[in-house]
Amino acid sequence: MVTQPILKISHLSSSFKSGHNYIKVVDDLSLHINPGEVVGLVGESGSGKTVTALSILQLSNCLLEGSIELNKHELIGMKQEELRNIRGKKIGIIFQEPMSSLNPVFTIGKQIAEVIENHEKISHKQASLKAISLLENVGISQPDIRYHEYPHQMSGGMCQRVMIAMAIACQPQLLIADEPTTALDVSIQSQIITLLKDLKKQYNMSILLITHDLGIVAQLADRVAVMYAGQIVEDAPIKEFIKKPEHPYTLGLIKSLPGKHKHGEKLFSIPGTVPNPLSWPNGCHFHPRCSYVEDQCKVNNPCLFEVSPGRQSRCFFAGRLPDEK
Amino acid sequence: MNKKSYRHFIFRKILHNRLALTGGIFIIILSLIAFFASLIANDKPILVIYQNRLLLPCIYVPQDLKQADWLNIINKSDFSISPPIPYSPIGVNLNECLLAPSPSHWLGTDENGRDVLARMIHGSRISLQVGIIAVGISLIVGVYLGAMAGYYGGWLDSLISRFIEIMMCFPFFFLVLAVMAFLEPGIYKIMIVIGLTSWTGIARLTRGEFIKIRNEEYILAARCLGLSNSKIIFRHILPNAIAPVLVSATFGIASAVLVESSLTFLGFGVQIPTASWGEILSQGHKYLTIAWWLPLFPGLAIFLTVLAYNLLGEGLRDALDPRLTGSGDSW
Repeated sequence: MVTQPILKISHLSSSFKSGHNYIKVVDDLSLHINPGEVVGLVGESGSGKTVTALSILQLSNCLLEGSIELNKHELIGMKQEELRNIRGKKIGIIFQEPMSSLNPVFTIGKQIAEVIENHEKISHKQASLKAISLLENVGISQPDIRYHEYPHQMSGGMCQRVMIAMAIACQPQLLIADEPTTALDVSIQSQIITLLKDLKKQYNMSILLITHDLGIVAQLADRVAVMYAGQIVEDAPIKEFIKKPEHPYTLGLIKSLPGKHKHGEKLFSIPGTVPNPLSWPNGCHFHPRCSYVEDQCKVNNPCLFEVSPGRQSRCFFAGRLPDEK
Repeated sequence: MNKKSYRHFIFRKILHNRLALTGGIFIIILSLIAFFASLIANDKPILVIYQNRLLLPCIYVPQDLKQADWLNIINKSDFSISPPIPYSPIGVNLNECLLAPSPSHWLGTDENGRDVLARMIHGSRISLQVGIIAVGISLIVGVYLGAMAGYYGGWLDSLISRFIEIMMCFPFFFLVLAVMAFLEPGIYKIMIVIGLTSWTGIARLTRGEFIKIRNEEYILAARCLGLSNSKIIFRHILPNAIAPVLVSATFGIASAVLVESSLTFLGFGVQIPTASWGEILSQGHKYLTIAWWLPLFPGLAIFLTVLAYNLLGEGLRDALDPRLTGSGDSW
């Protein structure tokens, strides 16, 4: 039996309006997430990860083309009221900056209870009881006391736990985690990762993990999709991806990870910088920085195609790249 | 950090600001005077035991005593407590016209022999009501329009902003005067007219705050959690935006008090014999040369009230603006 993906994005492109022009920041993006699967969406700053996340929720202020299906329901063009029933209920989201993602004038408990009351027919009392048990669930000690505290009284890690509690309050099928650990220090990072792992099992939800940290993806994700300049360049199961990348960009990323290099040796880096969305190159977006570039790369932009079962790459040389390890 | 640390911080800063504190205390005392006006200045006793009946004539007068001579009753009664100022604001006594301030009439009497202090105490009700009701109306209109413009932006923002600018082009006082000229004089009409013409500043301030806050991450988070626009506007943005708006409303109260006095002085406000500060001033200016106390005391009261509101508003503004935090006073 083939499992139906929870979320299926096909050929999505998002463009911001700037004056009379549209600036494309996400281009021909296709991605699916199966039930219970953790998909890592990796990319540099400005590669379109967050815009993708907000596009899924129809909150990106972009012109969207293509299709985003949640359980076979098309989200693009859906009515605002229906969308509100999906946001927070079917899809939860957590952000990069936990401190600024909570409203400073309300207690954290009130904010969680509000989400529950918004989506479920439930009395105020029951909602606050549920909020307390959620706080306990995300590992906050003394949840009944913390319920009455304001965001500024908590540390960043605790705020992120509160954000997670809000995101999972209505048992969403999909949790979008937009760089959930970037603003936290390393020891808190690993705690949050462990928490996300536990919650995923407990609630049997899928997670779209957006990050630029390959280490976190390796710990948590089943599959990884790498974005470069608005496009997905490679989509592969995490183990195979680390063993043998099928795109020159991801090859470069893996090579630049510290670990294999000799002591005192400089880390590898890909030459050049990420192109600005205003001036994406013709042909393959990566070709100006690619060491395998050929004439066809400068003219034609390759599609995302299947290299081997479950693996996709956007490179003419996929499957033929030299194994540099 | 204790639970209400931010509110505590603001409160402490106001307490440390002597001028703002004075303004606040003055307004509290004035509110108490206005609230208990009929117990402070009245020709009826506060409490009297008369023919074995316990009466509170300041609050309720029984049917059979409507025409009674209270002075007579007080003399005959076993026990009575009289108000500290035993004159009614409308009690005409032509034997005591235009008396200068004296121990029996602390602030003198007017041309009809009415006690000026009693009239001023009852007039304080009008001044406070004008301030609060007029600013309440302008807060409702201004915050609502400003919130819509700031939150939704686009053509709605352009429409509301242009409307605000058109309203601001009219000189405020003459707009109120022109509208009042078409209406029958009356104090509640003045309050409504002041409220409906003075909301522009509040609307612009609210719009600015909303534009700033709608781009905060927690508002995006609220939208991602599926909250409706009205919940986001009124529950999530408004509490964050209201502080500077309230500061400006405090100044608004001061200006409303002043406008009401001016309008009443010009004859558009309360009608005889109701007392208000502007009305005493208006009646008194005719006797300026022979009865200096008539314009002086209500003028002083208006001046002090406006000053008190301004001091309080300034203190509130300083307390809410962290950039103006004085040296050594840290979070």
